[in-house]
Amino acid sequence: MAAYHVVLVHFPIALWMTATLAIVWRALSDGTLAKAVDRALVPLLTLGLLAGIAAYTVGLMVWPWETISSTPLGRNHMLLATWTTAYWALLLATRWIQGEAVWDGVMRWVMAGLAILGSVLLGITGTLGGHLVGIYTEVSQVLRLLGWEVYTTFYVPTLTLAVIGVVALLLIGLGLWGRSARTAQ
Amino acid sequence: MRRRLDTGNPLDDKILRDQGAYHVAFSVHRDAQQERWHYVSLPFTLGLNRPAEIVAPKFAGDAPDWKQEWTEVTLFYPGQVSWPHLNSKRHAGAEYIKKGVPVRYRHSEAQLAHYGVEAEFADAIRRQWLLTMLAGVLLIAGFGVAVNLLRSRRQGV
Repeated sequence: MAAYHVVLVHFPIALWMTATLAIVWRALSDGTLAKAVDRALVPLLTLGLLAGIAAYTVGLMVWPWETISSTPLGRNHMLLATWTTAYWALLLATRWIQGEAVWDGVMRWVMAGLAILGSVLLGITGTLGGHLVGIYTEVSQVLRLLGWEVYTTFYVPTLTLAVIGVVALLLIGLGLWGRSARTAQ
Repeated sequence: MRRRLDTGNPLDDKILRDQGAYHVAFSVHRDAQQERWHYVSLPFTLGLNRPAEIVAPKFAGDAPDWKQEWTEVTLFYPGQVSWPHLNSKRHAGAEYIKKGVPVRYRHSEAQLAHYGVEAEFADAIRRQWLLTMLAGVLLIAGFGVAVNLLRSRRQGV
């Protein structure tokens, strides 16, 4: 399945990179063309997510779970692929739910930042996939300079996990509080 | 360190011949022990007076003049990675081992040094990695819920 995975990953990469350009463009411009591109964003992100899920699913079939979860590079690739897919699902959901309101005020810069971060995640995922099949790039050197050796499994200490869990719950609580406060008005 | 091409003990020492080509690897053991706490190299080819990664030129007399090309060999701590493990499902390269593909084809000394250390804490690291992956997804989901519930306006599509 490795060859199919390599073929399939090209689609989410192309679609999400295009989506990044569209989001950044829309964040920078209120012009007619930028607005027209924005109208294609939900279909673009939907196709990207479907292609991403397909590539992720086929990727899980390249090696047995026992294998992929036993190698640092395999673990790192899977971790980044999971985060990247979840992250772009978040961008799709946000644009879909919010509609054109995502371009109001500071939110447009949040969208641009999220899109750029999503592209970075995508790039790291692809780099690690390249390492897995023996195709290396200098991106891993950049990651090393940032303090992450790609040949070691990426994980955080238990205390950090607890902090992340608390922050996530606080964010959900904040959202629910905001909705109930608005409903009460 | 020196040895004869034929030490007279073929069961212990491989007989080497002039113009011969051989595979060699090096290890340095701490405290002269034979098992754990040692460093190893990846395999090299050795050529006795013939082209190879390490070339041993022929010389006359009791010792060479030590002016020939020399080769740097990187040693690394291999951890406790067993042969059965390398040939099991837990090793993605098991099929390459069966085909006789050299280890250097996919691995460097630096890479294997990290893998060797991680192998000693494999279960703990795998558990922490899984939790980290799930925590990241939870954080992304939490952020999405917060953003979309705090700003639940919809103006067009």
